Amino acid sequence: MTATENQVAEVLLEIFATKGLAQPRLLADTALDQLGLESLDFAQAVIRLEELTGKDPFATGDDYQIKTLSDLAVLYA
Amino acid sequence: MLSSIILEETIPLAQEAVVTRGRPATWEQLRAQAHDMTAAFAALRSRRVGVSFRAAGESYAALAALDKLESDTFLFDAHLPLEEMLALARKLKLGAVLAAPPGGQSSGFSVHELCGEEKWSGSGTVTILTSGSTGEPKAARHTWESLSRPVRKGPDGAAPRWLLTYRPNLYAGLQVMLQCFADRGTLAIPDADMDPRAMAQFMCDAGVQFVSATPSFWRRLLILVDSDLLKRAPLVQITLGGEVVDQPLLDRLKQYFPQVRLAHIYATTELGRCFSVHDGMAGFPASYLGKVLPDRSELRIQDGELLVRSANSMRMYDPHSGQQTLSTDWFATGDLVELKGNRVYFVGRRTDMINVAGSKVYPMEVERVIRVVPGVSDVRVFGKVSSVAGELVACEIVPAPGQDPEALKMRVNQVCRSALSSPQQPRLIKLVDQIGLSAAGKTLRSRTS
Repeated sequence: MTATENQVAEVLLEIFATKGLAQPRLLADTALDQLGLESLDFAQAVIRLEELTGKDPFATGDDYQIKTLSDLAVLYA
Repeated sequence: MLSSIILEETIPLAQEAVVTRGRPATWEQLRAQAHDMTAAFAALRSRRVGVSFRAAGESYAALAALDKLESDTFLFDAHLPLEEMLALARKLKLGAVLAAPPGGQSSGFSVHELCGEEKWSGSGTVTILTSGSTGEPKAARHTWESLSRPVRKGPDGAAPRWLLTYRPNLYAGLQVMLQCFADRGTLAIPDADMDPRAMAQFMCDAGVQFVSATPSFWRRLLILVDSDLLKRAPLVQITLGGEVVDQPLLDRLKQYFPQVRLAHIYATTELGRCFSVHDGMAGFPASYLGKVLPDRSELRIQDGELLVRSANSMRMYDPHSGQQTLSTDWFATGDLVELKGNRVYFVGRRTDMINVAGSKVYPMEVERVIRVVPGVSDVRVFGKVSSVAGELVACEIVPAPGQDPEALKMRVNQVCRSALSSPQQPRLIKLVDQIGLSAAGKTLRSRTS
């Protein structure tokens, strides 16, 4: 995985930990909608990623097609 | 009211009227100053006058002089830079401003005359300028009568010693001063930058008996100050106000100061003092609803919001302030309440509500859950702007001494997961040394983006 993909994976794993859930194995092509995360978990990840990268790709209101972890990481690369 | 106390009635001349760390003033000095200012400011009689108002004897002397001269007095926060104060004064069409000299140490006021003064209201008034959440100050016009009506005179000769924790130019600060001076007491004024320990020491040194303060003020003292020092203050009465009072704080104060009378007050700048609660319980009895209360106010609940009709309310917003005075005498307070059994509880401010992807979250409900987690000393909950969900719940926690940060966060997460719905659960938890307070001594609630 790329450095950004690893960063995204870490943020997601952190959220699993705070929810008290077992941490899944995350790969670049892991489908995000099958992890059992709610939309608010995703919102939380976006804020955390903004803290880490200084970027919020969702602030522009653009409509992104995000299926995999890699799709999300590309926005922060 | 103030001028008759300071200038005319019997006062304990040698006793201190005002105590600060640096400059105490006796009642005799206060009277002499007020007398001199009445003569010096004779040209301000029956005019619109602003005064840069700080917590010091000379400000109270100036206020008494302006009362005597029946001026329409506008109270400016002394922290406001001169240029901003003059700009605001011009906007309000004032005729003159009494500015304090820079540095804050030397005494006396300089008079700045302004052009374009509007006409006098016809009798002496006192206008409180509040910061307002939008940054545009509101100008709430009271009279000395409306300000002093809630004052309950105590027994003669008691000379109570009051601590001033509120800003002196706002409603609560004026109430404390009037109550203290009506009883010919002593007003103990702490420095603005005192840390909690210095504050407790000051309370002991000044022999403070009566404290009127926000819950946030007390939480900070209880958390950060050695209990032996705090218990040394000769307290007689603690009055809480300005924020919602919760049961754990009331219980803690009762345990710390078993001999103290404990009360909480509901008041706003516009409505004045509305009611008080003395049974040591959070909220207020449902029996308060639908009748005329001792403060001559009436309460009712509409759509979950507290509505009040108050006899102590302001006359109007100043006509030049840009605010509309509502014609109805029932005032929607913006405070959301819940009736549970025979008690009414405050849920939060309408404006503090956090909108998490369409779900309404009240910070206080979340704070109530987190505050009782072992290892948590204090907490504030607020909305964090989210590009995805609108807002998310964020919180700052002051850990108790010796807590492992990660373990504490985990514990908070765990408790919140079981006690709160998903939108209510804090998504961002930060550990901090202390919770920020606003100038009015309330927990800051502003959103962060």
